[in-house]
Amino acid sequence: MRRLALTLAIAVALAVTGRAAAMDEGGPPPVDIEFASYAPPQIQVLAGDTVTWQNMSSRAHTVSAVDGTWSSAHIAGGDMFTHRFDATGAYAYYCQIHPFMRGEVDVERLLLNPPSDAVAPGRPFLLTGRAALPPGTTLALEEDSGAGPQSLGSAMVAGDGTFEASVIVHASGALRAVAGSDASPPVQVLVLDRTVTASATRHGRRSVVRVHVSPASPGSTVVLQLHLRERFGWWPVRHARLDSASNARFRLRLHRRVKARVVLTLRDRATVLAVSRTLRIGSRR
Amino acid sequence: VRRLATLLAATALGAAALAAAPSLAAGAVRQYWVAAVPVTWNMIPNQRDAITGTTYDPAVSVFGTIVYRRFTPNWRRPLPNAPRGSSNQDLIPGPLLKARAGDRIVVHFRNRDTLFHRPHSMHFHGVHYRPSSDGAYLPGFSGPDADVMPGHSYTYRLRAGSDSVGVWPYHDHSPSMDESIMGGMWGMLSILGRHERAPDREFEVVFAPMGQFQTIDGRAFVGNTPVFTSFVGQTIQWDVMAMGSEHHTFHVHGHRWVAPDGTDVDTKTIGPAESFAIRWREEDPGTWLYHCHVEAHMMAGMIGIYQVRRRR
Repeated sequence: MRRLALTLAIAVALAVTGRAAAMDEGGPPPVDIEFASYAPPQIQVLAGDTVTWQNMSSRAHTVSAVDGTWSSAHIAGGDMFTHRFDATGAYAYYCQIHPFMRGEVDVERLLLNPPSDAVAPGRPFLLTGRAALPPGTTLALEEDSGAGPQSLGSAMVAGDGTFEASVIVHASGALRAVAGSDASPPVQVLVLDRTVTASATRHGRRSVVRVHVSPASPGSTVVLQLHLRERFGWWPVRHARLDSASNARFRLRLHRRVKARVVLTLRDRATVLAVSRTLRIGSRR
Repeated sequence: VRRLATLLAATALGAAALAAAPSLAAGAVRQYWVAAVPVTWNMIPNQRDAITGTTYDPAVSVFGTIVYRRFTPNWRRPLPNAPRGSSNQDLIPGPLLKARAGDRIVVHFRNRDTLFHRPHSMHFHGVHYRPSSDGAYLPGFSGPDADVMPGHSYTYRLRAGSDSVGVWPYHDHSPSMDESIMGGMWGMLSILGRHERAPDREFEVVFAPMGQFQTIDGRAFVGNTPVFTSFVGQTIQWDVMAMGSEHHTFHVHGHRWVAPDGTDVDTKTIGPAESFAIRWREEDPGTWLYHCHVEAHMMAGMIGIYQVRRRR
């Protein structure tokens, strides 16, 4: 239940993955104004950042605060608008011409860059971020993998507002930076340390996929995914808990031959911890 | 291709009475056993919007929620909400409660909310009932039907009249209504005329916002939303409903139907808690899109595919 609460907390704090990658360049990524939407519709920036909106569509739009405190003029296709955010808070905005278009800028004093890839347990990796705090300020770095906040170490804000620290985590969870009453929104770190071995046998139209995870992880969740054209990617079709020997077995009837794989996940059956090789299962028509 | 002669519009205002269906006898008592149960729900199981190529992390698509789930009598064993082969998705929406005009519908409800420990209820549109089966919380007036506490149960007694033919929403109307509706605690009643033929396929489409996404049946983006299937020659029925606070426009590519005023349409507007059914005899094989045509909704996930095949 605690992990579920954590997932929900992260869900509130995070938007589309990959967006944060642009923060590595030192400032917030530009927001595209599409034909009928802002992309991304929600961004996190640092106090003092200037946000740029670029109109990629063929029609004019505005970027206007919902509370009426600031607004662009009409932004023609190809034009841009910039606005600086100095105070922390959530700034909702919309298009006065197409009022159903909505966006939000969340202004923080501390931001962590999410690790761009999964990390290995017990091995150091570089955690980076930006702060709207005086150079020399010491930040506490924390992780929460479901058992409550644990200290990861500390970092110092550099002259350009960035900070970094080599940290070690042992389990997937959420990271955050803290300075006094200020805290960054959590970012998720994925720790991959286990190997999923899967094999398939066929009995008529029935396929059996056997799974083993090492090191032993009894009780962990494994999900059988099929690569289906109509599902536009990997689609979960069965899930199971590993038995006391860290094994699981899936049985299914298939009327076609498809790619399959088994993923080890958190209990949400979605956050991937390790992936098997790709198998081909099912019978040809 | 103009093939409106074969199209039927079966709306909540009145469905065409066709040949008698052998599977459902009129005047029956329909018993349903339903419970509010916790689930971990993923709005985007393939973790992507395939059309724009955007990937989404489970952190933004997975959440814990309470849904209506169908059970065997006395809630002994859970049943799938959607029968195998129906193309409908399991768990959200809740079980499709079927009946005919003249039937009595008895819904035995149990609150098994072990996630939030909230009270829940069931409130039904379109059917006849006494206030004790309204399921709507009103302090000082409503009874136990509207405020079923965790671990408790209540039996709702409904009657499908001749004015109940069509499809209708049901949803939580307890003090937890807002949170429950945002989490997918809703479903549909599908009521046929006394002698009306049932469709070969019945597809449930519920438009509702969820988190940062606009969902169909609690799922966002093609491949995640239900992949409905049919065969050429089958009579298919779309049961469409909206929950939340926004209007939507239901649109199916490559198909048209006849509106109640006799005009030909391929898009129909629907507001919160409204519902309608559309029928046609399928003639057009292919993979088609269905979606809400409010652009911002479509781009935020309210889109799916419908596949029509020829029988071999």
